Amino acid sequence: MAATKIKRIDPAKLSRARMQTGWSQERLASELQRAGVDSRTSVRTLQTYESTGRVPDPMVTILANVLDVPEQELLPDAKAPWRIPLMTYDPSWMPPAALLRADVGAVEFHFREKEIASLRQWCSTPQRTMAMLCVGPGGIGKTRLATEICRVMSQEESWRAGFLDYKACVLDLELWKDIFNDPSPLLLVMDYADHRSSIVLWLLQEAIKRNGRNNIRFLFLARKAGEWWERLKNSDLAREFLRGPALSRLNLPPIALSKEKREKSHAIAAKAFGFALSRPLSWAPPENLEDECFGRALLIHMHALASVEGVSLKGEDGLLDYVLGRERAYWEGRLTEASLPVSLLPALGQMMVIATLAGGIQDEEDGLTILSKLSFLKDRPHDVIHALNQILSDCYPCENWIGPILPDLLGERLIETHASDGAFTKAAFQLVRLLK
Amino acid sequence: MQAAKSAITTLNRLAHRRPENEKLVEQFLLEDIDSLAPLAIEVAIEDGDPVGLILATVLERHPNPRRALTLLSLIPDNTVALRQVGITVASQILAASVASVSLPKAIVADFRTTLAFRLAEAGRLVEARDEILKAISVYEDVCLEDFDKHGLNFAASQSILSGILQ
Repeated sequence: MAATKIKRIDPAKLSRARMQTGWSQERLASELQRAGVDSRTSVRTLQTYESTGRVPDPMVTILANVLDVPEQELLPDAKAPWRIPLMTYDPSWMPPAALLRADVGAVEFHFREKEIASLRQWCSTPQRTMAMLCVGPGGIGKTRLATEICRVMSQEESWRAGFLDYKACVLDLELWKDIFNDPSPLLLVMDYADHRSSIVLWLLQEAIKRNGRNNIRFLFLARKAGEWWERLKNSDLAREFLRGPALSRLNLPPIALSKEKREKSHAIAAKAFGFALSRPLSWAPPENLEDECFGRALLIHMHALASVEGVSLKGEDGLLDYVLGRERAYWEGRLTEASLPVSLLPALGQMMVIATLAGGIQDEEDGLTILSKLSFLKDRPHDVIHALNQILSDCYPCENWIGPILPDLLGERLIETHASDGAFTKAAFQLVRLLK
Repeated sequence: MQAAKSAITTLNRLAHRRPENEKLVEQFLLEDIDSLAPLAIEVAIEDGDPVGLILATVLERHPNPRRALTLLSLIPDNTVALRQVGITVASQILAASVASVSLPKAIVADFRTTLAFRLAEAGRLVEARDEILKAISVYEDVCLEDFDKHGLNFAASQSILSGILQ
C-alpha cells in the first residue's frame, strides 16, 4: 500500500468553513461519504483534521468542494504563521493524557494573576520592540501562561497574538517586513526557543530593523537560559537589543507556594477532571503537597486526576506511571475496537517510545518501516502492521504522522520505563537513527 | 538528523533528572559517535548538562584525532557545558600532532596553545601553564625565522599565559 501524501491546512479555517455552512462534524462526514469519499472518513478523522491541520493531499480539494469554498480558503495564511494552541478536551478522539496537556487546557487557567498583569503591562509599554525570556522546568506552566496571555491580548486588546508555527513559518524578508509593519500590535510566542535560536535571532533582527511604530513583543519559552541564550545575547546582530532594557526575563515560579494554595489548585483541577470524565467529584489532595514536585502544576493536576478516579498514589513516578497506565488502557481499547489481539499492546508501547524519542514519526511510510522492524512484530502480517500504524496515528494526531507522548514529562517517563529492556533499547536507538 | 537530535535532547533531560539514566545517553551516542557528536554539542549548548560530560567520556574512550579536529571547530570559546569536551578533543589533536613526524613544530605549538586555552577555561591552571610555556618556547624559535608568519600566534600564547598567571 502506498503511503499517503499529507498536506497542511489551517485547522481553524476548516472549522470556520464547516460552521459557516451550519454543518456539524457528523453532517460533514456524511456529506463526504455521499460525495464518494473513502468510507473511513469518520467524525474522528474530521476531528483530527480540525485539530492538527494534517490532511491527506487529495482530501483538501474534496473538502473545499463539499464545503463550497475555494481550496485556498483552507490553507494556512502565510502572513499569520501563528496560532493560539488551545483546544477543548474531547475524549472521543483525544488520548487520555491530553487531559493534562497545556494546549488542551482541560483545567481552567487559574492563579498567576501577578504574571498575567505584568505581561499585560509589558505588552502595553510604549516601546516598539521588546522581548522576554520565560524559563522554568517542564510542567511548571510556561506554555499555559503564554497561551493565556495570547488569549487575553487577542480577545481583549485586539492584538495579533499566538505561538509561532515553526512548520508554517517561512523566513522570508518581504513577508516578515509586511507582518512587522502591519499597524496592529503583535505578540509572538516562541515555544522551545532554546532549540530554535537561529529563528529567534532572525526574527528579532528583522523586528528591530522595521519602520512600523506598533508594539511587537516576543515571548520566548525555554526550560533554561543556558549557553544558547548567552550565545544569542553575544551575537553581533542583536547584541545591543538583547543587552539593553528591551529584554527582560521571567523565572516562572511554581503556580502556588503554600500548601493551602496548592490545595485550591488541586481542587480546581479535580473539579475540571470530574466534569471532563463525567465522574462525581471526589477530592483528596495529598498530604505532601509542599513537596518540591508539586511546584509543577502538571504534577498537581496528575494527582487531582488520580483522586477523581479514586486512586491513591505517592511520589512523582507513581503519578507518572498511573497516567501511563491510563494511556495503555486506551491503546488496549483501540486494539479491541480494531479486532486486534490485546497481546499486541507491548508493540504499541515500544512504538511510542521510538516516536517520543524521535519527537514524532514524520509520515506513514516511516511508521510502517519502524513497526515492521520491531522484533515483537516479527512475522506479523502486513495488514496488522498497517492497522497498528493507523491506530497510533489516530491516537496521537499531530502535524506529521504520529506525535510523541505529551506532556514531555510523561513521554520521558515512558522511555525510562522501557530502558530496563536492554535489547529493546538497543533496537529502539538503531531505529531512531533510521528516521529523518 | 532531527530525530537523532530529539533523542539526544530527551535522553539528556532524563539523565538530568536521574543520573542513572546517563548510560542511556552514552549508549545512544555510541550508536554512531562520528555523526552524533556534533548533535550532542548542539544539545549541550541548548539544554546544558549532563550531555557534555558524557560526550567527553565517550570521546576519551574512543579517540579519533580527525573527528576531534571537526568537533573542536564546533565548540564555542566560552563554554561551561562543553569544557571537558574541549579539553578532550584538544588533547587528542595535540597527541596526534606530537606523534606526527612530518608536522611543523609551529603547528604543534598552535595545538598546544588550544589545549592550554581549554585547560585554563576549566580552571586547570597548572597544566595550562605547562602547555603554554612549551608552546611559547617553540614560538620564540620560529619567530626568529619568520616573525610575520608566527608573530600573531606568539602574541596570543603570551596573552593566554598572562591570563593564567593572573
